Amino acid sequence: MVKKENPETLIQLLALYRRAEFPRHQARPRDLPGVALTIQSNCAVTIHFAKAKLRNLQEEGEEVFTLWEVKDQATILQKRCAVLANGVGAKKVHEEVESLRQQYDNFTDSVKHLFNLLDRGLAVRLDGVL
Amino acid sequence: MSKQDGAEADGIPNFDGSIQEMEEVVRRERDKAQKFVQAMDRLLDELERVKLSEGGPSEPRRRDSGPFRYLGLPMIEAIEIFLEKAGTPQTREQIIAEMKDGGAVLAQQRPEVEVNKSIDYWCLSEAEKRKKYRKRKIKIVPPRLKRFGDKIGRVGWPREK
Repeated sequence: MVKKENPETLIQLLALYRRAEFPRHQARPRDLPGVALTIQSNCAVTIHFAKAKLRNLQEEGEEVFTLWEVKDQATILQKRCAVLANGVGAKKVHEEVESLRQQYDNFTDSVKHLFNLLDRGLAVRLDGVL
Repeated sequence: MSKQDGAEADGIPNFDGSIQEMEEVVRRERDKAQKFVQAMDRLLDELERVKLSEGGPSEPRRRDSGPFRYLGLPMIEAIEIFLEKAGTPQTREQIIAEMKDGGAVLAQQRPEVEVNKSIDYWCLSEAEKRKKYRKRKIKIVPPRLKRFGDKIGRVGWPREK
C-alpha cells in the first residue's frame, strides 16, 4: 500500500523520495514488488507536486514543460508499477527489471532536470536519493 | 558480532564511510565556492551600477572566460552566449563540453542529460508544445534554438549558416 503524502514545496518533495533498490544480480520474482512499491510512492508524490504547480498557469516555459513531462512519465510509471507490485512470472522477471530500470532512469533524469531548473542547490542533494 | 564487523576486524578496511564523508565535505566546499562566486558577481554588478550612475566607462557584465563564466546563468542563456561567440551551429557534444567547462552544469551524474533536455525543449516549435499541453490554454514561449542537421544553432540564423 502506497502511503499518501502531499508535498507542496520542492524540499518536501525531496524529503519524500525513497531510493529504489533494483536487484543487483539475478532478479527473482519476489524482488520486484518491493522496487515497484518504492517507485509507485516516488511517482505518487511527484504527480501531486506537479499537479499543484501546474494549476492556474498562464504562461509556459522550460520549467512548466518539464513539470508536465515529469507528471506524464510518473503517471505511466505508476500504472506499470501497480501491476508489477502484484507479482510477475519467473520467466519474465529479468526483462521486466531491465525495462523498468530504463523507464525509471528516464523518469529520474526528468526529475533531476526539474530540480536543476527550480533550485540548483537542492538538485545536488538528489544524487544518491533517486 | 555482525559479519561486517568481522570483516573489518580481519583487517579488510571498509572505505564506504570515509568516501561518503569526503563526498559530503567536497559538496559543502563546492556550495561555498559557488556562493562566493555569486556574491562576487553581485558585487561586480553593484560596482558596475555605481560606475554607470557616475557616467564612467562600462565593461561587459558577465565574465567571458574562466571556469565560472556561465555559473548562475540559466542554461539557455549560457548556450546562446556560446553559440553567439562561436558564430556557427555546434554539435551537442561541443555544447555539452562548453557548458561543463564553463560551470553551467553542476550535475555530478550524467551532466549531459541536463544540457540535452534544455536543447530539446528550446528546439521545440510552438505547435509541438501546443500538442503536449493538449487543450490547456496557456501562452506558449517561442523556440530559441534551431536544428541545423545534426548541429544546433540560434533560431534566427539562416539555413545555410
